[in-house]
Amino acid sequence: PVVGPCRAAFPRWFFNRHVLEQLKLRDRVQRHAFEEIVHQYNRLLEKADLQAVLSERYQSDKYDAPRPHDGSAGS
Amino acid sequence: MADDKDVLRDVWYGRIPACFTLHQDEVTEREAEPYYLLLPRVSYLTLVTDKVKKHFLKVMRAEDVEEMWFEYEGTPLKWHYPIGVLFDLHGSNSILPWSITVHFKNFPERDLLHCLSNSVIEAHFMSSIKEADALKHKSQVVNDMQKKDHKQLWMGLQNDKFDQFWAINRKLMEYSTEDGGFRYIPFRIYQTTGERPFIQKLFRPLSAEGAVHTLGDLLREMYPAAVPQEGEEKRLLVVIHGIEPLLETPVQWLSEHLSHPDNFLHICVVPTPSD
Repeated sequence: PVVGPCRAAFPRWFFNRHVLEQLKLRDRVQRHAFEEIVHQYNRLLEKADLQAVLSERYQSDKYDAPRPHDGSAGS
Repeated sequence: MADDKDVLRDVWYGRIPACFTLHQDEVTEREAEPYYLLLPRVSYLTLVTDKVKKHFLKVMRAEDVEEMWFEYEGTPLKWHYPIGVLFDLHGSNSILPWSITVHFKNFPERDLLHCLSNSVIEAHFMSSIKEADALKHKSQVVNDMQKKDHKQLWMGLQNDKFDQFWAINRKLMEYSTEDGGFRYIPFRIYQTTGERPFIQKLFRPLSAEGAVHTLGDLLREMYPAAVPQEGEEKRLLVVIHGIEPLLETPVQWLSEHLSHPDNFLHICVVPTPSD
């Protein structure tokens, strides 16, 4: 069926303002509520990764190149 | 108009909080923590998930790794749809953050396109812009641009540079005052059910008599069920960029302000949340 156009019932500023308000509300729920906690979590993740790398390196150092006094400490 | 610029900015900087977890069938050498990310609505999954890939590759053996792909509650996520469209269509009724499952094997050949480098995304993005301009200006604007302008559009999206992108994109949004709008509105209407992935037909911003066509007019012609009749309960939501614009909003204004960077108006029709 052919559908006739309906007239825009509101002036430009009205739907413009409606869209802006909706976008602000959306950002509050979806963006701002999570920004800080995601940032903090990722920092923790980086630290945990760094720790894993460091302890791995420490382990391999211990086995690859034992320092002289390590021998006496081990027995 | 200052307000209009604000709309463009808010659309560009829209984010979706997402939690990525590795699928249980993937073999790992140690446990993989989930990875959290704020996804840009206007970008593409495979363009913004380098860190996700890097994170999970750390716990996997190289021989177990094939092309990475994503899934939400059993639905493979099409990277060639903008992220915001994927979320509004599949995830908007879910609890935030959006929970996405990461896979490195069993690539669903029937559902997804391969994406082995960013140049694949760039080619897809540019072909959308060209298709949109064919509808809006019979390809005149995009063909008059130089190669470096095309590159600037892509780099603007890839590097999340609003000003860089819009310095070029504003040319694609122009029209002569005597026309009163684009030739046709580049739009796609997505639904969760149905055999077609989306609805796309020719639709003009003005009627033959010169009256303004609204979002309501577009839907009444393309998807009548999305517009409730008098006294009828609203069963479907019409969502663009995570919001419900008024049905009285002119489609020309929507096309200029609520299109994705690919210059298409992506409209999702989803069931109203039942509580």
